[in-house]
Amino acid sequence: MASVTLRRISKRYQEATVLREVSLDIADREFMILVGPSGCGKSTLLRMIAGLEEVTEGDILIDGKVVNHLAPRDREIAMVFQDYALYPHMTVEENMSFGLRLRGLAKAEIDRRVDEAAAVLQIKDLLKRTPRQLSGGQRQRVAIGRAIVRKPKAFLFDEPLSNLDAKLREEMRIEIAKLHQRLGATIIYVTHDQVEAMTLGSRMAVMNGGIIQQVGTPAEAFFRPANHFVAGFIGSPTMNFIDGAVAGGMFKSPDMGFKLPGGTRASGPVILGIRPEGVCVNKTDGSSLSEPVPAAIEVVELLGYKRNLYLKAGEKRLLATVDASFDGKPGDTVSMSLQLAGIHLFDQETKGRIG
Amino acid sequence: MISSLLQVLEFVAFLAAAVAILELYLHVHFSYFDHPWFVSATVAVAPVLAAVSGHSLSVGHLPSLVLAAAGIQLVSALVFRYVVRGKHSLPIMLLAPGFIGLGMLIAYPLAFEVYLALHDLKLTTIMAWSRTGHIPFVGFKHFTNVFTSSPLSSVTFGWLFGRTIWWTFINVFFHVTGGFILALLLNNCHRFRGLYRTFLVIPWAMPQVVAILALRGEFQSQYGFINIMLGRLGVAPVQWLTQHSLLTCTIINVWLGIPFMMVIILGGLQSISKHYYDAAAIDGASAWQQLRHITLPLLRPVLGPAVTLGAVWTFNNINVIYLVTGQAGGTEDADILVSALYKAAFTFYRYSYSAALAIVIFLILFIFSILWLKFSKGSESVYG
Repeated sequence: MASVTLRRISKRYQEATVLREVSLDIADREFMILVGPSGCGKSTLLRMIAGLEEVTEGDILIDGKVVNHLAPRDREIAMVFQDYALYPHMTVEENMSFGLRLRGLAKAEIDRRVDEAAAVLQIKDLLKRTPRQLSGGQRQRVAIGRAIVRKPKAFLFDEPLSNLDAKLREEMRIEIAKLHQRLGATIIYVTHDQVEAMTLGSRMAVMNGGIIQQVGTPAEAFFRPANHFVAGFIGSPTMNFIDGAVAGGMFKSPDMGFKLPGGTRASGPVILGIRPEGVCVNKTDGSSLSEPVPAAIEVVELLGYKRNLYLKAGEKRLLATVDASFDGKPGDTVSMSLQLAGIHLFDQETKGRIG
Repeated sequence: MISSLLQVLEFVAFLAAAVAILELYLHVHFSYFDHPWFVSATVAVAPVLAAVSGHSLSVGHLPSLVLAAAGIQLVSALVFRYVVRGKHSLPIMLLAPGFIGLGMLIAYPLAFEVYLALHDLKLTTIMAWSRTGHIPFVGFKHFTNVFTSSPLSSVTFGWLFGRTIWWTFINVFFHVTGGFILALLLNNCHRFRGLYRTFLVIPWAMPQVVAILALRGEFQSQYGFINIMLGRLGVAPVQWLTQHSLLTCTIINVWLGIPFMMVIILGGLQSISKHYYDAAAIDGASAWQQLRHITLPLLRPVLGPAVTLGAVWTFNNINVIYLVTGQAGGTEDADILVSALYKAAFTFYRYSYSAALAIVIFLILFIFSILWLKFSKGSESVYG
């Protein structure tokens, strides 16, 4: 296993710049998630680490060695593709052993490794089948098996679960997490699904517009988003944002105004962010909540264990997630307040976090 | 002019009448199959109609015609009554005109060829045939002649067959390798791909006769481009058309056949997902190993039928050989089975012999195609 380091990587296609000076340190045995909306450059970055795309500027280091000019086969990495890319004319066994056969390993060693990987992934009875005889989940396992048998320095996953249905995706997510624990492998995992990003990774790099917006643990990205984009991208349902201004420790917007907790350094125009869980309805607890404002319920969604309330305070629409036991229906007017501890403030101009 | 137009109109009217009669026949059989009088009435009417039409068209052997009509109608009526039972009447009636076309274009010529092969029609009997409609029956004599006598002046069937196999193999080999190389180049070339493809397809898109005759001119020993260029290099003029006719035909046919394979293979290459190459690159495959382990196996569903078609076309290729060597005083050194067949029929007027030879060639190709498709698994898809 190995560490992977990216040093000021840029990628340009003719005029279009896909990645801008991306730097990232991925430690040995780390599970690093690259997450971002489509088109943010995360897959391109992964393909550059794999050697499938040229690096325009910067260096990629695997185990401290610059690999920019090494062909994919000399980088000793393995990759799992979104559509699995299993060779349709080979059996499962041949698919898994292809890389080993090309490297000229002894037959006995190949068989041993394929058997071992097949046992781990519970696909032993599929070895003689061809990919077209497999279900999506089975293909996924074979694709992972093909990566495991190689015993690579690092595993690259390119949105491996996005072609599976929801239930299977959940199962495979847990399998991949177990696999990481068992193999202790360095994994770089690209996804646009924030549930995968939150649950799988030891750290994540949130990307947008070819730039890494924040690198940190899932908890850091969730509780202390570095900027407006990360705040809006991580977390489901999405964070509420209220444009306003801070003056003398008071937040003011056209629809509400309240005193921020002491010690805020912010002043001037800001974007206030509050997660739906931080929007309280009909609660009075002076010190930890903002001053209540009246809000009308527009829509109520029951999620089972929670309820989503779509509220309108003045002209501002906000989403509140409350207990399922909340009793209210569209048209009701409630008193809405914000948990002061859950408030994030972002600069309106730079979009960066200011408190 | 007028008379040939009239002939065309007459033919169209004949076709329309045939379709109308067939549809009427089917309609009656679908509508009334379960009436009690159905079988007896139609079997009674059929000989009468056969006799009337046979008489008006002055066909010989009226009694046997009448008997055959009754027999066929009996079988047909029973089938309609107890097997078909009025089912699928619309699809069958819609398909029927197509079967008339198939019958006229395939079934009748094939039957007539078998008839010719079993009789003896040649230059000396053709006048008698056109006068009396009678040709002597000779059984399988022509089939043994095919293997024992030469269709041309000296070359034997065995030689012709061997040369045909060689010709087919060499041509298809160069068609596929040439087409494959060009397709790979085109597939990896992104600028002007459409332009290159257009240029490369020209030999195929041009009328073959024009292309072949133009190239034959270039192989002319004195004024042809090739000998002039060789002369500049100090090589003595080569008698391409007379002494190296098979080689010349092969070069011309390879040039003509590459574009087809190129287009087919290019289509196949473009349908292979880029992801397989990514996966193979990461698995450690070099460019050559990717070609061998990914490209070739995934091209199989395209290559199998293309090679089968190419082999049959080359085996049956008369254009190149006839146009290059078929003029008066032309050589027999380049002849393959079908060009010899053509010359036997239309240069030496041995019609029945040629019919037998044609059936033999057909059987060879038929067996070859079946075996090839079976063993190459060419008709199976790798993708499922």
